[in-house]
Formats: sequence, C-alpha cells, structure tokens
Amino acid sequence: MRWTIASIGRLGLAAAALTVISGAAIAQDIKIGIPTPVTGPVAFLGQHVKWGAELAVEEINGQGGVNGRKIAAMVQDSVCRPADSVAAAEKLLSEDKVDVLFGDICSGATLALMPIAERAGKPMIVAVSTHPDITQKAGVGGNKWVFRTVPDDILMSGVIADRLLKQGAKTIAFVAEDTDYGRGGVKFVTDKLGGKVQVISADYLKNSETDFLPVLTRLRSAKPDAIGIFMLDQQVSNFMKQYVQFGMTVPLVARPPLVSGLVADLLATGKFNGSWTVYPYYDGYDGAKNVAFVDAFKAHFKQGPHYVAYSTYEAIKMAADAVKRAGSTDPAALQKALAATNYQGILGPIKFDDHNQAHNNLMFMQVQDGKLMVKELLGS
Amino acid sequence: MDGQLLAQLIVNGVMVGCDYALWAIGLTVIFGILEQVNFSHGELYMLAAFLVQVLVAKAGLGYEASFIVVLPVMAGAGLLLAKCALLPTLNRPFEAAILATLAVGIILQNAARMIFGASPLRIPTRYEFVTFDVFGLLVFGQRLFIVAIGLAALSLLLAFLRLTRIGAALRAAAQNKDACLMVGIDIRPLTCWTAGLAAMLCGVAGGAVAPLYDLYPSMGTDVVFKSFAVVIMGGMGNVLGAVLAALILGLFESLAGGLGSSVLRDGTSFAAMLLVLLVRPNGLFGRTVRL
Repeated sequence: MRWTIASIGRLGLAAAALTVISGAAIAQDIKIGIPTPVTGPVAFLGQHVKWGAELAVEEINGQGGVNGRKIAAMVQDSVCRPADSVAAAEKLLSEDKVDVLFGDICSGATLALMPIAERAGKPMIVAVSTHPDITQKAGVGGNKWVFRTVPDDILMSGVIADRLLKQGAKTIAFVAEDTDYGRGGVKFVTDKLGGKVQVISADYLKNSETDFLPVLTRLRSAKPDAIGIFMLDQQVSNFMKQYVQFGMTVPLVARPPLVSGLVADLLATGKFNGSWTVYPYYDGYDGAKNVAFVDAFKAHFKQGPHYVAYSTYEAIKMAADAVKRAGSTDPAALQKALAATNYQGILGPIKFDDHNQAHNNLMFMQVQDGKLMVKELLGS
Repeated sequence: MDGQLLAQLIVNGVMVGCDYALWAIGLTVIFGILEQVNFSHGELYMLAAFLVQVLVAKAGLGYEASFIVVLPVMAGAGLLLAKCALLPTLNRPFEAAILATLAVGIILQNAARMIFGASPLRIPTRYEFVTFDVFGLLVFGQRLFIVAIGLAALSLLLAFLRLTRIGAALRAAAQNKDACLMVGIDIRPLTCWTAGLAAMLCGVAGGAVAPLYDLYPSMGTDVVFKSFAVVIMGGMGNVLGAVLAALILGLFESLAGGLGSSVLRDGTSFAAMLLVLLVRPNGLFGRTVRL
C-alpha cells in the first residue's frame, strides 16, 4: 500500500476520534495521581503505597464508586527525588489530568510538589511525608490546596524527647538519612531535648548507603545510651543486620521503622528488645477496624500493610468521601469539601485544622520478647 | 586517640576493601583485554545475587553449593552479553559498547523488577551472624568468607591467564589487537572468553558479597560506580592494581567515616579518585603491572 497524503489524513482523523472517545470515557473516572518511588532505594515503600491505593480503589468501585463514577489511582515513578517527583506530578496533572494529586513519600519531594499543586489549582493530599514545613506552608496564609492526614515530625519529636527523658538517657547518637526527613528529625529532637540529653554524634548517610561499619565501629566505642534513627525501611534493615553482627545492645530509638515487615525476623532474634519507635501506624494494632483492614490487605498482597500502605488507603477513602460531599470534582468545591472533612478512619476521626493538618493518632511501640508491641496510642 | 577504635577501623577498611576488589575485578578484566567499558557490570552482579537467593531460599540448595550452579549460568550470561553487546560493537567507536552494555543493564534491572518486585530479599548464610572477637577486634564471618573466596578467584584467574593457551591469547589481545590478527589470533572468540570470565567473577562477587546486604533490583548501581572508582584508581585494566586500589579505598573510607563523619566518606573517596586522575592519569599503578 502506498502512503498518500489522503490516507495519512484519514488515519489522523481516526486517531483524533479515538482520543475523544477514550477521553470522554476517562473523564468519568475520578482520577487520583500518586507520584511515588517505583524504583530506587525507597521502592519497597512505593510498592506498599501502590498496594494501599489498589485496595482502596477496589473497595470503593466494588461498592459502586462515588456519585456513580468510578475512581482510578495512577502511579508515576518519582524515585523519591524532588526533581523526578516534580516531573511525575507534572505528567499526572497535564497528561493524565488527575483531579487530586498525592504527596510523595520523602518530605523533600513532597515539599517540591506543593507549589505545583497550587499553580495547577488542584487539591493535594499528603499521606506519608512528615516534615513540619509542609504544614507551615499549607492552609491559612499559605497553600490552601495542600492537606496532610498524618502527624508531623515536630509532634513526633516531642513524644520522642519525652520518652528519652523519662527513660533517663544521658547520651544519644543519631544515625539519619541525608535528606530533609533525616536532618529535620535530628534537629527537632535535639531542640526538644534542650541539652538535657547529650547528643554525642549525628551521622547523615545518603539513603542508598548500605555499609554501616564505620558508624557502628565508632558508636561501639562511644557507647551512647540510645541510638536515634531517622532512616527508612530498606536502609534500616541493612543497619540492623550489621548492628547484630557487632553484638551491640544499645536500644534503637526515635523513628526506626520497626513496624516494617522487612525487619520482623531481625526483631525475632531478641537482640532489639527495648528498642522503640514512634509511628503513625502499625499493622499489629488490634483495633477492630484495623484488624479488618489488615486481613483484607493480607488476602490481596500476602503481607501486612506498611504504614505508607495504610495511610495511602485511608487518604484515598477520605478523598472519595470529599468528592461525594462536593458532588463533583470541581477543584474549588473539592478543596472546600476537603477542608470540612470529618472522616471516621481506622485509627479515629480525621479532621483538618486551619493549616490543613489532621490530628490523627500516633503510636508508641516497643520491642518485647522479639515482637513489636503497641504500648500507647497518643493524640497529636 | 583510641587505639582500639583505630585498629578496628583499619580491620574494617581491609574487609571492605576486599568487597570492592571482588566487585571491580570483573570490570577491569573486560577493560584490560577488550578495552571496552561494561556498564552492565552492576546488573551482572545483581543477577548472580538473585540467582543465589533463589537457589538458597527457594530451592533449598546449600549456600556454598549454589556457587556450583551459579558460576556456569553466569558464564552463559557473559557469553550472551558478548553476543548481544560486545561483538556487534567490536569495530565501532568506544561509545557504542558503552550504550549497548548500558542497554543490557537496563533490561536486566527491569526484568528483575518485574520478576522479584520491590521487596528486598535476603540470602541467609551460616556465616552471617558469626562474629569473632580477637582481643576486642571484631572480624565478621561473611567477610572472612569473602576474603577466602576472593583470594581463590584471583589466584584461579591469574593462573588461567598465565598458564593456559587461551590465557596467553587473552594477554596478547590485551597488549596489541592488531598484532594478534597478524599472527592469526581471532579476537571474536577471545571476546566471548573475556565476557564469560568477567561474568563469572561477577558471579563470585554476587554470591559472596551480596549476602552482606539486602537484595533489590537496583543494587548494582552503587556497585558499578564504586567499581569504576577502583578501576580508574588502580589503572584501567590492571587486575592487581585494582585489588590494591580497592584496599586503599576501603581503608580510606573506613577512616574518613569512622574518625570524621559519614558525610565525609563518599566525598573523600571520589576526591581521592579525582586526585589520582590529576596526578597519575594512568592510575596509581598504571599499566606496568600487566594482566
């Protein structure tokens, strides 16, 4: 067949018609855009974000969707790096035309996304990142489009400092990832401690670092009363393995991701008894709503939900609730509906203050007999 | 200064240096003989690690026994790499081989992601949680295993290159390819041999070093950069130079990270690389200590 101008023209027309039809079909979906790390050193968490989103979407659509419309979650790889995250969000907003944008996992990336949501005039829900600047820049006097469903690092650092003082720790050494999250966490806890516990060192490692021999060697001879951790799951899993090899018994404190399925077998060795963490969620929590959620999640994905899976699931349900009350996905109406949220979540009600920050519960958890136990449910 | 701390840091540095050496040998062999840069080096390492993981954790094979299966498979992978990326680019400018091997690496990494997902995996070994306390100095079981198997691999490699006909041909190719053609040595089968050897060395590294850490599809990325640093410092293509450079780099990083702070560590190692390039552009040991 010879390609003539006319046949190319016909093809072009056919293609244009196709775009309109599929465009019309997709426009009926309520689209949620999620920039999250599918690759890189935080990919394990990105996988859980995706799973949490899938479960929420399946449940909502199984019950007939929202206002007769289906919901769709679209995941775009961000590598958890600000530049890639921005590119992912731009694509979700301009090409996929999502109605609601989600924040990334890593605080640095989420902070970079905030002005993009504002410029696009689309609601953005931060379900995972915990840097306090996100709240300070959101809501009254700032970016009205951004809502956060999880407590921030200042709230958590207050709890962490309290525990350290109660425990009578005299010295602490920090090991943290070299990001906004890691550096922020160390700074806030240090500030809250106000010099009452001596900080003997603070190490910041790139978040793909797997070798901790130099740090552990130094800490082994420095003998702090506690090692404060601000790193994410894959990295801490490597850290804890090497810590066991060093035969150390100093408790890990602050925010080690002890809630992670990745470290359960390391906890079971009993070498981490006494270590504790503060997290917004743990799948071992025995509240009735949570047990139902965990069972459904395990039935789908063969492992328990990580904190990020829980919070993404919860945030999508909450977004669906806002769309329902707004009666449409008109950005302004949706923003108003989100601000008026009173959603009954798995751990309690979610409502936003005038900085669009929810005051969800926090969990204080400690390792006992090789198992992580929820010791206290704290308001935030 | 705490003497015990310093001694432990030096011991650590040597142990880490052995990891780096094992990582880098495969890369330096391909460069030394073929003068081609293999950007799929890290992914070959990843492939070997996942193979060992599957054999040990899923198929229930013994950890040491898994090497017997993995090494021939890796030799096959090397052969495939030669057929797909190295042979077709043999007479092209050097960047063709870089792009071709990079493509192989990307394909391998994404294939691993599709098959294994993003959840990190572990290789359980009997040495993993064994630590020897020698007068207060800690020596780790898996690291000793790495030293032993690394020495064995290096001796076998050198013996192969020095004592066999193929080895002699490979050394000839490393010195002068045009002269090889003149005396009737065909470069193409040598390319296959080299890639097979390099992939098997990646197999040894993947099997021995990877159990130290969690396994995930992009684990090769850091390995390839560290290997490049070592190969450049040691003198491109110089096997013994790479081993020495790896030990120096390991010590350097250990002392920088242990006495200074963790932030210093990566910075200093790459600064060392830059310094070597400025002062001795052919590497610390140049091409004087040949294959």
